[in-house]
Parts: sequence; structure tokens; C-alpha cells
Amino acid sequence: MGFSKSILTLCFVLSIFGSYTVQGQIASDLLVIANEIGSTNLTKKQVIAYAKGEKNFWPNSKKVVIVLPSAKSEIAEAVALTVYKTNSGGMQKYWLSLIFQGRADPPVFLGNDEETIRFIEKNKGAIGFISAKNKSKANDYLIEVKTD
Amino acid sequence: MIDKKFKLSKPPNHQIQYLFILLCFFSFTKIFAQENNKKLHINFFGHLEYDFDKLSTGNNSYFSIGEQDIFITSKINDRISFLGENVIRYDSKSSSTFIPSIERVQLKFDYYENHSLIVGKMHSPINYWNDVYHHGRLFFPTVDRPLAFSYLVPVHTLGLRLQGQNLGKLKFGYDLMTGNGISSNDFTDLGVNNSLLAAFHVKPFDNFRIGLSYYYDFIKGNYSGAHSGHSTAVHQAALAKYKGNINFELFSFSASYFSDKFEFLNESCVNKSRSDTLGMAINMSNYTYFGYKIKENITPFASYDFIDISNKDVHIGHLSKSKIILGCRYDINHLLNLKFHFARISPNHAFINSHIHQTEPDSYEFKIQMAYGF
Repeated sequence: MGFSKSILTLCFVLSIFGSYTVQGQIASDLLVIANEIGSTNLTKKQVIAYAKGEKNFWPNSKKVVIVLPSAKSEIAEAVALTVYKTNSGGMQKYWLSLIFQGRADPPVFLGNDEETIRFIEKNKGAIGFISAKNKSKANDYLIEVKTD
Repeated sequence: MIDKKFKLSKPPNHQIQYLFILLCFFSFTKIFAQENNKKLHINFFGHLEYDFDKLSTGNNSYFSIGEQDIFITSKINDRISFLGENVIRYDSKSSSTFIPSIERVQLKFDYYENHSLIVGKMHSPINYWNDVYHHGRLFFPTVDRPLAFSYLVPVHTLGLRLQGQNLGKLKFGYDLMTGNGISSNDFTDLGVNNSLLAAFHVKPFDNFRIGLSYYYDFIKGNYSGAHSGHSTAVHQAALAKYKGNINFELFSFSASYFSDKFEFLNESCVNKSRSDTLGMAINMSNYTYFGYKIKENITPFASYDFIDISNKDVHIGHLSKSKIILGCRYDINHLLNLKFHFARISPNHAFINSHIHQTEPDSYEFKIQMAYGF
């Protein structure tokens, strides 16, 4: 009986961690922002799938527009590692290859968080990443990221 | 005064005109790109090569300019996009030995979620190599394409294609296609029979893709046009005696795994080619590649490639060839890499007894290639 209780307690604790969410945060130093994608929350797995060009449209039928940091951006390496499991050069080659195959539209590469926020403000269906330190500048566009 | 008038009436300098037109073009594309939120993209891909060949007839050592590829994509609206690819490549028949070639012109309409309708000239989605790399030597894991690419695989099709990708948990993808087949070119076709292609793949986990395809074409008059394997037309010229029709079927299978450490690719083709004279010819090819990253940017690799064309085949012609390759790829950065390989090319299968008796000695090659794209 005691053992079953322990198992139940463990399951409860795990379920709490399983539904753990942070507004905008996909990694400790990265936030996800988007404009009119038909939802204010996504799982980490969904963010990665959209950022890898695996989906053409959001559930609200808006075209997915991916905004990524260019090589000179200070978050380029963090995004490349978190989403593409590579470095920023590998991330750019991933996209060059996908575009060359004709299987995806090119993403928009921007140099800093301010440009990313401005672009996402102006483009419905756009999704991108900014540094956690700039959270206050993009409060209206933060996406709640749930762990899978 | 007369001199001045004479000077004014001189024929215009064409070089300056061309320069002006080019400047206008690039200025226009730049403005267009800015006004349309960077919706127009121009990329350039190419390669340079050094070869040393040890042949039975003697040795050759030479440098060569490889294909130079101008690649354009543009978003016309949220659902329609354009892709164009023009390659300037070597052609021995041309006076300058280089000719421009339209490799891809396609309009894609994303009609529902991840389902699209594509119209135009495209790479036939047969096997991994032709679908993913084709001209993009920057993306090639090795220096050369598989042998099947030159003989068996109808590399292009001009027509209609229904495409779906990343569907469901297995990331299922399909390509259903009909268009101008092997005997056609980019302007017309000899007959009324279009080629048919059905290709399917799944990507059950990251970096892994497995796919198969079936291609059918009725080749009128045993003619190879613009869409056959790259070397088929050359062989065809030597086999011009048979002018009848051919039923051409190609079954293909490929499995690929490209992770940050280990790389693997296997692709196979089985071809059934039926003529009125010699009946059914069964041809096959197999290509296997292994690469292992010893450093982030250094990948030694090995591959084994063979092709066996039956002596009953009147389209490609009797052929047996195998190639064992050892090489290395050095990625200088994501826009430039350096590759080299040593290869032994045998007129027989290296590991199993072929029905062909070896008539010529093995040849060897050493190649260095610089591939770029930006």
C-alpha cells in the first residue's frame, strides 16, 4: 500500500513537471514570439517543427513565416543549438539545402532582437526568437512554451 | 566639329550596354526584394575540380570548371511560389564548350496545409540523391554522383506534380507526377504518352529518411531527349540500330541517415526495359555511402557503387561498372567545402561474379573538388 502511494506521489510530481510552462521561454536564455498564429501557447516540439519548416500554415490558416537570427546576432548560436542541434553555420546550411530542394520557403534572417520584434509586429503568421533580456519589449507577442 | 559628329554617330559600346543592363537588373532585383520584404532570393552554386585519371590508354591530369548554378526563388503570394534554376555547364558540342541550361522552372501552389501542386520542370523525385542534391555539390557528401544518376534515373520531368510532406507522426511524404518523359525535351514530346511517377518517403526520426518510388515511361522510337540519365543519350547514339518503342519501368529504394557524427546513404534501382527485339532486360544499380565525422568539419568517407545493364538492353546499352571510393570532406564553412577522393573503377562487379567477362583493366582516379554556394 505504502509502495503504491509512493508511486502515485511520484506520478503526481512528474505530471506537475510534465505540464511545466514558461511564457515565451524555449531555453533558459531564449524566448519565442509570434504574431497571430491562432494560439498563445505551443509545445517545444511544435516550436521546433515550425522553425524547421515542417509546416506551411498555422491552424488559423496564416502562412508560417520563420524569422531566424543571422550569423551576427548574439542569439544565433543559442537558436541553432536549441532548435537545429547544430551551430549557426549548420542552421544556415540546413535552410540553404531545404530551399535548394524546393521543399520550403526561405526564412527571414535578421541581425538583432529589435529587428526581429519589428518584423513580427508587422507580419501576421511570423514566428521568431529573442533574447530573454528583451522580454519586456515584446510582451504582446510572447508565446507560452510547454515542455513536451 | 565634323569629328564631334562622327564621334557621336559611332556604334555604341556593347560592353557598356551590357554592364548598364546588368546594373539595372541587380538594382531592380534589390529594390524589388526590399519592397517585397525580401521575397526574392538569388543564390549561386558551383564547383571547381582537379582530376588525375589513370586509364588503360594513358594518364590525364587536368583542372575543370564545374556547373555554375544560378538559383532564384520568389514568393508570389502566401500560397504561390516560384523556383528557377539555370546552370552553365560544359558541353563538348558548343563552340565555347559551355552552354546555359534551364534545369528547373516551377510554380508551386500550397493548396492545403502541407499539400502542394507543382507545375513546371523539376528534378524527378527518384531516390534520395536526385531529390535532395542534384546540382548542389555544396551539399554532396562526396565528389561524384552515383553511377545510376548517369544511366538509369530520368533526372528531370516537365509536367504536373502533387506533393505532400511531413504528414503525421512518421512525417510521411508523397510525390505523384506526370509529364514529358525520357524521349521528350522541354518544348515538345514525340508521342502522347506521358511518364508516370509515384514516390513515397517517411522520416520516422530526426535525420533519417526512407523512400521508394515507381516510374513508368513509354519511350517512343527508343529516343533519349532532355530528361534521361545524364549519359544515356551518349550511349543511345551508339545503339541507334533499334528504333522501336520501349516500355521502361524503374523501381527505386533509398535509405539515408545524416547525423552530426555518422552519415549513411543507400540507394538502389531495378529497371525493367522491354523492347520488341530482345524482350525484357533487367538492369540494376546500388550505391552505398558511409561517412564519419572525426571533427566537426572533417568527414572521411567510403562508398561502393555498381551498375549492371543487361546485354538484352537496347536503350542504355550493355554495361557493367563498379566504383570503390575512399575520400574526405573538409567543410571550410557552411558556404564552402573541399573534398578529395581516390577511386578504382572496374568494368565488373567487385564482389560478385558478373555475367560479363572482364575485357579491360581497372582504371583509377584522384579528384579534388571545391564546392561553393551563397
